Amino acid sequence: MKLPWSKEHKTLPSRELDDIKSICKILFIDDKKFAVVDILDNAGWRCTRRIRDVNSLDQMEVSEAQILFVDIQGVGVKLKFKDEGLGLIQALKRKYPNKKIIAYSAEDQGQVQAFHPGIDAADARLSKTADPYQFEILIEKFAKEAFSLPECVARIQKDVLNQYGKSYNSEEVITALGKVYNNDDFSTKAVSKAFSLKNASSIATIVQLFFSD
Amino acid sequence: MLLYHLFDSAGNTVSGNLPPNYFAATNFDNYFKQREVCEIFSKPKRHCYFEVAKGACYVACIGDDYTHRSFEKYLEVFATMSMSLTEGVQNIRETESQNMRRIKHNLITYNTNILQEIYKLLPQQILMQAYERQGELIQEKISENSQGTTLAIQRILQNANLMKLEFDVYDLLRVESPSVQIMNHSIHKVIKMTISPFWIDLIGRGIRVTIGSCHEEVKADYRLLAVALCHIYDNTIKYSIPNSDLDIRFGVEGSDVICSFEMTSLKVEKSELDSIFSERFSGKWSKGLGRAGNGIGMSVMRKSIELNNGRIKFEANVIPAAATALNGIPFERNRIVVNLPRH
Repeated sequence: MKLPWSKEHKTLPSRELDDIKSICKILFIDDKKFAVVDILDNAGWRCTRRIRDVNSLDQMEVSEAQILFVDIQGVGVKLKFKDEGLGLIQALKRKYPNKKIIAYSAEDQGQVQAFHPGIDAADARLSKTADPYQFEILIEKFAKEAFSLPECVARIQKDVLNQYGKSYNSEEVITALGKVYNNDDFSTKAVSKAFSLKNASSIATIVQLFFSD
Repeated sequence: MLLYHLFDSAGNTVSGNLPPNYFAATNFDNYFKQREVCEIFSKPKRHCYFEVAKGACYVACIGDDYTHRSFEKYLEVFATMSMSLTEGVQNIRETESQNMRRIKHNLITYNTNILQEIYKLLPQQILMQAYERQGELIQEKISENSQGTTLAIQRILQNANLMKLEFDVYDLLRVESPSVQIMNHSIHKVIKMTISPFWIDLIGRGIRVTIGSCHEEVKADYRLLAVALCHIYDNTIKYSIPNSDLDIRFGVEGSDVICSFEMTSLKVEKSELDSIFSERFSGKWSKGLGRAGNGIGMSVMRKSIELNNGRIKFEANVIPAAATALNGIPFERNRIVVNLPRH
């Protein structure tokens, strides 16, 4: 019997790719129109958009996006980064270490760019001439890491092991996630408590992203 | 201070360390002078300009530290070095210009094909005459000729993909260790995607393609893998006997996924097997038939596969009973086998 004061138990969202496609926010920062944005939208990635440049690292499109594609040339100009897109990537990664950032450009400048810290900071790089398939498979990989329950659990297990030397099985992670979700509190303090860890800020970031839709 | 400048046979700079004002003030000519006072550095100098096999060299020793003997030693060193350097630079330039000529030729061809496909469908004259009604006219022409439009789109797609392949190959040949992004890919999906621009030519030559089933994923860089696969399809089109079969089959061997491409293509002589993946190599029969390209296709295939931590091999005459001939040209059932790391 459900008592009037008892809390309703919410089950963790178990998302299929189609669900992920409709919640994952993808942002292209490119001063030129880029057809892949429309191609992705047609492929079901409903929250894909493009802005010409970034006025502020706090601007809504940037802070809300989970996956960002940054053109190496012609952007980062408004924020006066010396190395344009590569400078912007470094700044974005400093501010949002958990967002996935992909550097892309029309020109493969080969080895020179390979050693630029902006390229090192990016999670991946692509040529503008890459097939739409290459864009999509990369997005799928990063989006699943963020929004699919099994991948989120695997990431947490890996992080907990690397940072705290503890080994949690999947059930334990799911139980802790359930506690956080049902309390509707995704703060570092609440996540740390649920996972019995001290200052689990990196785990909190994964959890916040997973529940961010 | 030791200064030098190397020129190639056309008078272009190969290498040097002359300050710009010194370079501008120097009259390069055959001479040998001793203890002349340098106007730029106001110090004694010994200098010499001399011609070598494929260029010329200027050497100057400036300051009091140099004797006539040490100066002559330097001249000897520079004479030896400049010959090999100018020759080396010339060789690099020749290879580069050969590559550039090839790329330029191919890109012009593909671009021309794309434009001609469009103009075949939408005559330039019509578009020019009615600029304001352009959209309307294009729509009319397309709906009048949907079959032609379909073919044109297929041809445009094919040529645009071949252009892209040229850029990727250029990067692959230019950079010693190209950036590699290993991800998991369904090999079946990759094969189907990469073969699609070649359908039109495969069908045109009557080559029936069978792709086996496979649910395996490989760990690979898509771009490099696509480069290798596209060269396999290109070779199939160029060297297969018309109206034959291309069988693409898959298998698993330990930690590898194996893809085999079996076709009835030009005979490869036993003596050629070891060199088939070497750069600039063309087989006897492909040369005889006038179908030999620039000889980089097979070596590009190998480089792309090896960068993907894979292996590639060529197996000749795998079904001896299937050997045949057309107008005296021998064809055999040959197989290209690619091993890729399995996910």
